Amino acid sequence: MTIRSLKSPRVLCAAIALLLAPAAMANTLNQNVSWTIDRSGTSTKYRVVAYGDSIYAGYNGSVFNAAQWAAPTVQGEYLSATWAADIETVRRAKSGAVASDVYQNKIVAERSYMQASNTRVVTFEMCGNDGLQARSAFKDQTGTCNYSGLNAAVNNCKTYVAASMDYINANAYPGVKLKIISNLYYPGYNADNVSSNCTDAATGQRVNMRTTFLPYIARMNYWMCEYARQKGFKCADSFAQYMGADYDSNGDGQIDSDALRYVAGESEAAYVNRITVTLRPTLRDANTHFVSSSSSFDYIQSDDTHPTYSGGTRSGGLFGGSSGSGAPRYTSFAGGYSPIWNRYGHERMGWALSVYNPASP
Amino acid sequence: MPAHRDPTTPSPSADGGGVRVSTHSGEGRGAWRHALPWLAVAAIAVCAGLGYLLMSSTQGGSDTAAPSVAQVAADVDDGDPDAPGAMAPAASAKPRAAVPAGTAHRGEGLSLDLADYIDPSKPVPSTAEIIRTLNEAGIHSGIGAFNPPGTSPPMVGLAVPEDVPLPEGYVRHYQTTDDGQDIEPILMFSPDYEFFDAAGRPIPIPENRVVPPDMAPPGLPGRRVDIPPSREGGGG
Repeated sequence: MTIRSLKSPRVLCAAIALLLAPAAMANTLNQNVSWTIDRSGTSTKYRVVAYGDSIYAGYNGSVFNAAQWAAPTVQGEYLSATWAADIETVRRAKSGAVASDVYQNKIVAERSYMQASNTRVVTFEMCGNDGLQARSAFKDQTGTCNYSGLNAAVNNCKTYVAASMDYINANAYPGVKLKIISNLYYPGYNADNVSSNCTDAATGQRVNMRTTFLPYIARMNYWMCEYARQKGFKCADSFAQYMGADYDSNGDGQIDSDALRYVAGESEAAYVNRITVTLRPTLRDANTHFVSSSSSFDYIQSDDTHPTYSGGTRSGGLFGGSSGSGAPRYTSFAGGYSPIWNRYGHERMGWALSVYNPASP
Repeated sequence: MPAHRDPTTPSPSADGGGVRVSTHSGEGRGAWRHALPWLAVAAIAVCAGLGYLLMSSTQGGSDTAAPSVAQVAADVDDGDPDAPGAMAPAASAKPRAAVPAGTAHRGEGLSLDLADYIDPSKPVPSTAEIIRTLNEAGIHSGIGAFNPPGTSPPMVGLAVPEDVPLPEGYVRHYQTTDDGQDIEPILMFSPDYEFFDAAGRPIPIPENRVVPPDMAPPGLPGRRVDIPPSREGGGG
């Protein structure tokens, strides 16, 4: 008779895996935070609904909390001033979720949030984790480089961005005034400026990671904005807002962050060439976002991935989400700008969303 | 002496290093504080990772497929108390039978949410520990694709207060901690300038462009900034 001890690692693993098989897939984190901007002198309340991953979640490296002033809530503060109303910002987000997950488990499964009759804005972002995972897989490659994972990430992004817009168009409260997507900045732009372990089949040489990845994120961003144009959405170009300086660094007569923006109607090839070739010298890592030639702000947290933010956090993570309310930080915005609009990543993205805010609810 | 760079030439910052000089970890947790739950999660995740690899190799990559009626039919509403309850989804959606609010997701098929597998009565590993465990199990998806907090910590450099005039060729750089606390601005070299000594020879600039004390222009306090400690004890 053979006796096998349960202390054997192989058997122990098998036992745990059988008991906890669902945990095999547990690698994302729901982070749902709702915050109402409670403006004095009014009880009229409208709603902003935001679906997304860790960006709209306000992920800050904690599994318990998330930033209170994540981009959609920042946008809500601008709306509160414009509409002289309370604004409830409902963030339904899942950190680590790929585009299909955001689509299915947030936008579709949690559609009721955008069906409420006081909803006026629906916004979403996705695809960042498709890109991160494809990048991680590519970095692990040895031998001949295989680009299929990067292409799959772009195709998945296109599929679910289009599906999300169609679904929101068909299911959101009919009185919604603004539907808007935010595209992707490039986290780790400097860190990716290294050679791959794999070699390109055509050249036999290692490839520069950043040079390799940039066209893929550009293609994702193009289609986010292009589908927005086709399907009645607006597109907040976070790539341009984060990656380009707010002054003319190359003497082409344009503010870098303006020059990088998607141009409605341009072709994919034209956009990708503009970003990856023509204006590439103006791209800078968002860890040093230059608001002028002599001042820069760190838009990226210490994980070199997620946006910085102003203020504290709210409960949102392993122990559930939260909701709350409080007075706005700012009640008016001269010229449409918060005093801190360009000092933090989330403030910048929230401002980029607010540019499209309707004049009335 | 700084010299302005030709604006038509590429800025070196576009290919610059961006390497941070601080070793501040940001996590702020003792190594042994969560040793036991960490070991438990490690064991689970390593085993789960094997299961994940097996499952993913046989499931055929559903992410590549366009959303279909069958996929969308799996939707279950999370329940918004303010929403009109009877509003049916349009487009390709076909909701299943009503599910009481708040009970929808858990236990229905495979959830991807870590919260479904964490015992709230026990200490939870830090995010960095969870990411590391997932990675060691070969899982680089979900938050396993995130860098841990502290990968690129705030840079420590010379303080350059707002009331101190900024010399030409330098930058006042502002940073924030992961828990939202502002850090006093530091002095950096501008990417738009090149620097030369009195003999006209180029002066090498640190890769991260942070001005070291021995290269500081006159008139600055000569004090290094402090990174405030975490308010939350986590998240780094």
